[in-house]
Amino acid sequence: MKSKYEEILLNVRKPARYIGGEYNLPDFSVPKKVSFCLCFPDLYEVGMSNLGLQILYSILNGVKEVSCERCFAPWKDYAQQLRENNLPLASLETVKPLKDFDCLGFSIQYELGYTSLLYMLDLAGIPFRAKDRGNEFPLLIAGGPCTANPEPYADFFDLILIGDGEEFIEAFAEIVKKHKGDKLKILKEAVKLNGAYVPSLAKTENGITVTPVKKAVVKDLNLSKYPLKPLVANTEIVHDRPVVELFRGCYAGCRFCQACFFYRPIRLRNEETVVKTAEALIKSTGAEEIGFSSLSSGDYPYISGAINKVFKLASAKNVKLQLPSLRLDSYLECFSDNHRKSGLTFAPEAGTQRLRNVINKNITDSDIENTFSQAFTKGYKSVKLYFMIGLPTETDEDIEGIAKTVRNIKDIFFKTTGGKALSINVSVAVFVPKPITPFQWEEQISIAEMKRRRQLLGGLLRQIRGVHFGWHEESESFLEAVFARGGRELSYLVEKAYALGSYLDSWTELYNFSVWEKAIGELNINTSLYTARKDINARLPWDYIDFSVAKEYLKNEYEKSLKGETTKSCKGGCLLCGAEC
Amino acid sequence: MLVVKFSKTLTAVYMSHLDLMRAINRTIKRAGYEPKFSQGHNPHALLKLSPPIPVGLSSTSEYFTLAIEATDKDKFLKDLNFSAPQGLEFLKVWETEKDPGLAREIIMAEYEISGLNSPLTVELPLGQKTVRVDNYIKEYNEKHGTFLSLKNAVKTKSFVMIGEKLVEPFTAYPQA
Repeated sequence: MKSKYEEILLNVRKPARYIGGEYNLPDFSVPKKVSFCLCFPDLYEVGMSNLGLQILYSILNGVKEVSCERCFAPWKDYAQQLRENNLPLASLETVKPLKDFDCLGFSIQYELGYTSLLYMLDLAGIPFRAKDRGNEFPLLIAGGPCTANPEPYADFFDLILIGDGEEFIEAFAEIVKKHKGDKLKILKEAVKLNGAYVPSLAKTENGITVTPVKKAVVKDLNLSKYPLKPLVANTEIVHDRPVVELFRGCYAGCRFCQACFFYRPIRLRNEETVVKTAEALIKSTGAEEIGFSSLSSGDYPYISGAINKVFKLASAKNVKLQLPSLRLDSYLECFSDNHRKSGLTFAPEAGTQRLRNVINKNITDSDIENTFSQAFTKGYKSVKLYFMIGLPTETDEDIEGIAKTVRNIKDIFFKTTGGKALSINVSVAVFVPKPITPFQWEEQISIAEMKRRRQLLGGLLRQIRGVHFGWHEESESFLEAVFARGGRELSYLVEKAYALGSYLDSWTELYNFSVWEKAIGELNINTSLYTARKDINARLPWDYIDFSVAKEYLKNEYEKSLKGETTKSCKGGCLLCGAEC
Repeated sequence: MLVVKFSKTLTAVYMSHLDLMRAINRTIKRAGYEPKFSQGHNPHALLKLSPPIPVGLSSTSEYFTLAIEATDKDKFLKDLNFSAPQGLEFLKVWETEKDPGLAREIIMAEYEISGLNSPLTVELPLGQKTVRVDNYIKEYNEKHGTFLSLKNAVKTKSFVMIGEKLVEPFTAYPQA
């Protein structure tokens, strides 16, 4: 069987994606009682860059009598070879068909990946809906950022983990071991765990889930397990470096940002743990580069100490320290003179002070002025800027403000260096209202309006030399908005779109909006129900989840935003959002 | 300057030339050795590989050269093998005074191709696209009606030219 899979490797691009054999791989020569497979509905290069996958992989392989393998979505050429040779999708490590595992754990990273999940199940010969899978099929569980609202894909899974996976997965593996082969028994016991949402056991009212689920939270990151010997890919991956997670959660409170509220409470790794982890990773991977990970590393209280210490031990081994994306206002403090001056990435998000107040991006024009003058003095010659369009209360004046900000940064460059050769990348995304943010009730502008605003901005930016204008495809933002706030009924749309040919949609080459338009049309779905402004008192599809941040807090933030009032970063003092840090 | 002979088999045959370069660099670092680095804007380890081979082909005769401070060679080999990913095995190491330029000097290779019936050995010049080993196999299949693939081939020898003679690098560049 194994050799059949090997034969097709010679007929596909980048066969290293499908073969495993990475350094630090655990021993799979002896089969264990319980078999897990972590499945990632995107390519190897993307999935192997995911920290969560590495964490859960190392934890599960450390549980007695449990083994955990991996499977990534294959590129279309490999999928075609599987189909032509009648081979089911199998794991990397032991080339075991997915349908022969006890449990498959899917990572759900973005809304556009929902059809890729079905693509993997289809290739594996596994029925899509949980109700159609008996005990002869593996248990399917899901986790990841999109569990902020799992409803659109809830019917495909036996269990969805909402929140941190470290402690849950270990307890869950024990339950699977105990009741191996009996799904119902496993689910009835697992549903008692924090973070466990079992759609088939949850009560609904008018199609909306009402059985409460409390998000799983790991209390102390210093005690939680972290992969000190991560797998080292044999081929280039998107983020080809080991990372140390500094902290979870975010102090900033930008009102559009789901990660900020979803990952609260704020939990810090202390400096000692960070430095020790970095040292272990440098040794165990041999990587050329090491990085930090968090939502806003500049806000990490021990950032200068961590940078200095890790920089020192990394340099001694000829390892580069990759500085993380830092929020504009926190950047000054940790300017590292030693750092290579590649390019600066900043996210003002909006072009005017008024709109930045609305979204609570607490950056002022003088912050921009100061930071960039310093950066340019230090020798930076290229800048990447992130903005959003379609934000609540946005007018054309705010869009003009983006062009003004860009022009202003060029002027600062000229003033500080006398030069004109500044390269500016302006990357613009469309606002998507997301669950558990203060903007979860807001509307998304229509695709036609997105296009008008893009043209307006594009016209203004074209007049500035040295600017490259990058734009996120409108229809993708639209689909994200539909799925971000959709309910259980949308599983039919996911199925229909897959049947019509949608998969790996995050790859421009494969994305085709007309497939989605057709699916929406055939099912007669009124998408404006999902993109329109929601009544602030309505029951939302994800209201059954206790995210720890209180809904009242989000409401209050929303009301403040409409008045243009800002909220300070909670680094200066607790604002009682409910997360109980 | 160290010259190392190694094999590339099992899962490692699917590493591209760049992947291989990265994997060896990381193996050396994990083993606790610090090679000399190039100077310049983007310093990199002074590691050079023998000519690239097609992805999917096994080889028991690959080479790299490495600029590094003098070191216990047996221990170096042992440490490297301990830190290597699946499919890379380091076989021989010796010291030379100057870089033999293997990427340029290795001009011939020998492959063993085990067919459906009997194994056969062919000699193929490298660097000429028309007679790459994968193309040779394709032509062989057409001529003989066989279904051989790269999976049936192993590169077993690499040759450099000394005078008029083809010899394996470790004979050509004896220990310094």
